[in-house]
Amino acid sequence: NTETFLVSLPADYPIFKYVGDVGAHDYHVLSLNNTNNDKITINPIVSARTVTHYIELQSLKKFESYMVKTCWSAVSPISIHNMDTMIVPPLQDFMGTTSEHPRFFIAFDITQDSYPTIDMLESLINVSVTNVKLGIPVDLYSTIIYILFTCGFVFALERYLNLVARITTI
Amino acid sequence: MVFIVKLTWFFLLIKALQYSLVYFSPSQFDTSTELLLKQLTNDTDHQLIDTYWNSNFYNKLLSWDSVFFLKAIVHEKSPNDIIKFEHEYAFSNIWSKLIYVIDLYIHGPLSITGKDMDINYVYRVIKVGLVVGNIIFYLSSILLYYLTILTFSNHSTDLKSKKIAEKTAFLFIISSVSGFIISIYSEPLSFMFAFIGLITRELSLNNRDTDKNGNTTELFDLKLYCWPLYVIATSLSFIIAMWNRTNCIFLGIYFLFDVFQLLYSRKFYKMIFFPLLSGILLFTAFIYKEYYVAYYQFCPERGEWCTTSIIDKVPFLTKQSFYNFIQTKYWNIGFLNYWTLNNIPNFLFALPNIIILITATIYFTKKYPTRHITPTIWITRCFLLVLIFFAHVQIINRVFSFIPIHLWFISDKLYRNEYLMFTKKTDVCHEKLEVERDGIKNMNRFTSDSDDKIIKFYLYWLLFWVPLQTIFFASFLPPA
Repeated sequence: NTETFLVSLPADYPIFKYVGDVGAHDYHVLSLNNTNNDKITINPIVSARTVTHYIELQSLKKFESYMVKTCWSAVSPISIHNMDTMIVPPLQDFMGTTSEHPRFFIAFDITQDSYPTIDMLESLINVSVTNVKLGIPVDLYSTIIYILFTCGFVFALERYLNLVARITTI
Repeated sequence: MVFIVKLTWFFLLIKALQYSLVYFSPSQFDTSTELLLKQLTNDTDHQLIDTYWNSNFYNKLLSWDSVFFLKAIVHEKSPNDIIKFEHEYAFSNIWSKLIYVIDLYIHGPLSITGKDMDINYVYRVIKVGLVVGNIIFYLSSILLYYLTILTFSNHSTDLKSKKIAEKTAFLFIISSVSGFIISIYSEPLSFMFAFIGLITRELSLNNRDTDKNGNTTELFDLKLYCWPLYVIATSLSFIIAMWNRTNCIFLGIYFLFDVFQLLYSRKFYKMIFFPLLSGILLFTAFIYKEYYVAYYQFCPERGEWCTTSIIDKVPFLTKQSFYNFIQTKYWNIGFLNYWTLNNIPNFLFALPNIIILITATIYFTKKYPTRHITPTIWITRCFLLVLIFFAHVQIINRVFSFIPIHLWFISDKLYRNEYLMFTKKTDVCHEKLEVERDGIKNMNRFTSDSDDKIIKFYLYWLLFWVPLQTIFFASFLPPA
C-alpha cells in the first residue's frame, strides 16, 4: 500500500546549513544532502488509537518540489492518513529538542484498520522523499524509460513482423 | 497434436518474454515488498531477501494481491503464529491451501529450522505457486480449446469449430489476464474449473434431434444418462470456481437458463433433477461460505456485520454477504463509489475490454444469434453491470477470464473473414461449399465493418497491454 503527497519549502523559508545537532530525539530524519532521494524504515507500534508520526526533512532546496511516499505491506492492516507538513520555528521545543534554525517536518496519522484489532501491532513502514523534476519523481525515470523502450520495441516488432496479422491467421 | 505442440511453444514464448520483462524492470514504485518479506520471515539482516535472483526476480513478483496469497500460504504452515485479519478473507483460501499442499507433497516437511526455515520456505512456496499457476493457465487454454469445439460444433462444421477453437486458445494465452498470471494469483484456478464445468455441461446437452428422414432440428434437452456429469461434475466445478473467486457465482446463470429452457419445453422432472438441483447446490455452497462459515468464525464478537441478521432463528443470514461487507468496508465497493475524477485512468484501462465485451454480446445476440451462447451473454451483461457500476472497474482485465465470450467473438469473426477471402480467391464450385458460402454471406450482411475495426483495435491494445501490464506489475504500479 502506498500514500503519497507533494511538499515544497515555503518561499520565505531561510537558507542555512544543517548541522544536525539538536540533541537526542525520538523522531526520524530524511536528508537530501548530496542526493535526490532518501528512504528510511520506521517501526511504529500501532494500536486502535490514532498515533501521529513526525519525520524531519533536511537539506530540501527552495523552489523544488518533493514527493513524500509512505509504503507498507498489505499484511499490516494499518491506514495512513492526514499527511501534512509542519514547520517548527527556531528555538522552539519540539519533542524535547530545540534548534537555532526552523525545522521542516512531515506528519501523518497511523491507525489499525482491520478486525481483530491488536493491542500493540508491530508494523514496518518505508518513508521516502524524492525530488520531483518535470512533474515526475526522479526514482520513476528509469521505469518510464523502460516502459517507453518496451513500447518502441513492440512497435518495431509489429512493424517488421506484422504480429497482429500473424495472430489473426493462426 | 500439431496444435498442442504449437500452443505449448506459444505459451512458453509468451511466458519467457513476460519473465524477461520482469527481470529487466528497474525498480518498484511501492517499496513494501522488502517489508512483507521481513515481516513474514524475520530476516532482519536481509541476507536471503537481497540475493541476486531474489532481488532481481522473485521479489518483483510480490505485488498487489499476491501479497495476500503469500501470507495465506505461510499462515497455512503456522496458523498459530500469524494473525489472519478479516479483510484477508476476500482472497481465496482454496488457492493458498492448494499451493501449500502441493509444496508439502513435492518437498515434504521442512528439514531446516529457525530463521532460515522461514525465508527458505517463503521463496520455496513462491516458486511452487508460480509453477502451479502457469501450469493451470496452460491447461486451461487446452480446456478452452475443447470447450470452444463443443460450443461451436452444435451449429457449424467441424472444421469451423476447430479453427475457432484454435484461435480462441491462442488468444487466451495473450488475453488481458496474462499480465497478472506471472505471479501467485487465484484467477487460473477459477477459470480452469469454470471451463471444466462448462465442458461437462456441454457434454450433457442434447442440442439436435434427427428425424426419420435425417433432418436435424435445433432443440434444448439434457441427456438422461449424463445426470452425474451435469449435477455432480458441473456443480462441483462451479462450486470450486466460486469458492475460489466469489464472482464465479455468475456461473449459476447457466443453471437458471437451463431451468427456463426445460420449463418451456415442459420437461419438469429433468428441470428439477438437473439444473434446479445443481443450482440449489451452487447456491447452498455460496450461502455456506459467504454467510455460515464467516458468521460462526467472527460472530457475535465482531459486531457490525454480525448484527444485521434478517431472521432471528437463522442468524447467519445477514443483509449482505461477508464478502460484500469486507469489500465495502476495506475497498469502498458500492454503487458509483468508484465514479470519481481520479479514477478516470482506471476506466480507461478497462475501456478496451468493456467495448469488446459489449460488442461480443451484440454480435452473438443480433448479428449472429444463437440460443447456445445465450446464458454466456446474460452472464457477460450482469457481470459487466456489476463491474462498471459497483466494483473497481479496472479488474475487468483479469476477472473476466472465466467468460471467454470476447475471445469467441474475435475468433469467430476472424474465421468468417478468412473464409470469405478464401472463397473469393478460389473458383471452387462445389455445391456444398456454395451453400455454406451463401450462408456465411447472409450472416455477414449483418456484420458491419465496425466489428473488424474493434477487433483490430483490441488486438493492437493487447499487443502493447500485455507487456505493459507485466512491467506495471513488476514495478508495483497500478492497475491492480
